[in-house]
Amino acid sequence: MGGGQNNEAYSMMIPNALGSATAGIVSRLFTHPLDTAKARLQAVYNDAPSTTSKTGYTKTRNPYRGPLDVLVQTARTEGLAGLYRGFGAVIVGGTPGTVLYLCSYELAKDRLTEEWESRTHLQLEQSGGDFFVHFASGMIAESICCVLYVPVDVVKERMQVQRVTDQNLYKSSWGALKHISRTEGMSGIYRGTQLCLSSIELLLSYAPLLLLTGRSPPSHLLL
Amino acid sequence: VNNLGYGATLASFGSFSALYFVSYEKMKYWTRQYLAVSPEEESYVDVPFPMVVFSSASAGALASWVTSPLDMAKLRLQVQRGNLAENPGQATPMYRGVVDCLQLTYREGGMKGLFRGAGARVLHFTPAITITMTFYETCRTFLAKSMNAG
Repeated sequence: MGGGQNNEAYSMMIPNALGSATAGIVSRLFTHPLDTAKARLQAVYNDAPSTTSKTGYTKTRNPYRGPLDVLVQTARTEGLAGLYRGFGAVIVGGTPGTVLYLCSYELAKDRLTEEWESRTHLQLEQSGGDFFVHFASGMIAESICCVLYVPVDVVKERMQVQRVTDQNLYKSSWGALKHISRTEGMSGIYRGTQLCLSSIELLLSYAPLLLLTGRSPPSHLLL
Repeated sequence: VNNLGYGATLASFGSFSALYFVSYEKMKYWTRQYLAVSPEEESYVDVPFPMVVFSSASAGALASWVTSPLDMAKLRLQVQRGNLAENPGQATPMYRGVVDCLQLTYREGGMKGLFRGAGARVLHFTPAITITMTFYETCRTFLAKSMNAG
């Protein structure tokens, strides 16, 4: 399991990156309106009267019958633009996010598979390692690309639901990002639990190392 | 309360990804296993395009449905954060965190409340991840071939 496999993994880096970028854009173009429908349904409440509760909090009553109804109502009152709110953030920030996501997934999968097979001397699936490897690779990929996905997601979801929850604060994705970073601070977006951050730091400090050296990591870090 | 931006997002996205890839890879493996003449050939069999589409779609549907409550909690916390930042001192937070949001939603609306928007999420994620994955697999294979040829 030495150099040969490594070279193969690294020669796939560019195809992987270009492929995932194209894939991310094409997919979003078609499916963003459905994402808007999802966000709006999640933001409202079935049982709540649309008033400010005693905690000073506004609950918005559900004006929709279902996902399709969201699409129809939004298109009718806000036009096509209404269905594509937050799209700017997704394309600008989400595309590199998807590249980072799929590339780190492939890299993590290759590394973990190699490590697992060299230890068990069995093919991954035959020794039942596939569950662990794919589960962990998905988690690792997500924790790396969340650096880009988290701000994108915050901007996107706020843009998508603001008409429903009656806070028309943001005009554009870029304006929303500026507004949020001014009122809440960019650090506010990124602040996480200690555990979460330390695991991300570990992975982040480790990923470039993997890319640069192409060496197998010390096994205690991965298993 | 402010500390939950990253944690909530990672809890929702991370569990989706982990679940998705486990089922996606498993289905592709079953296909290879089925098509392979001998066990040694299993890792060399190409998964046919329709099976890539099918594996991706069903894995995406499953993973997005299961993780839907986490995604809803994440969205509500994000909206709440925005509200608190706009009206400092006026509103007290409704949810203290992901778990608190899930508990409160369950108490108020039961399972139906927890899976609010789940149908729309499945409707979005299934084509989204299927287009992404099939495009990705096709593009990278194509690019790798043309790069090796050049």
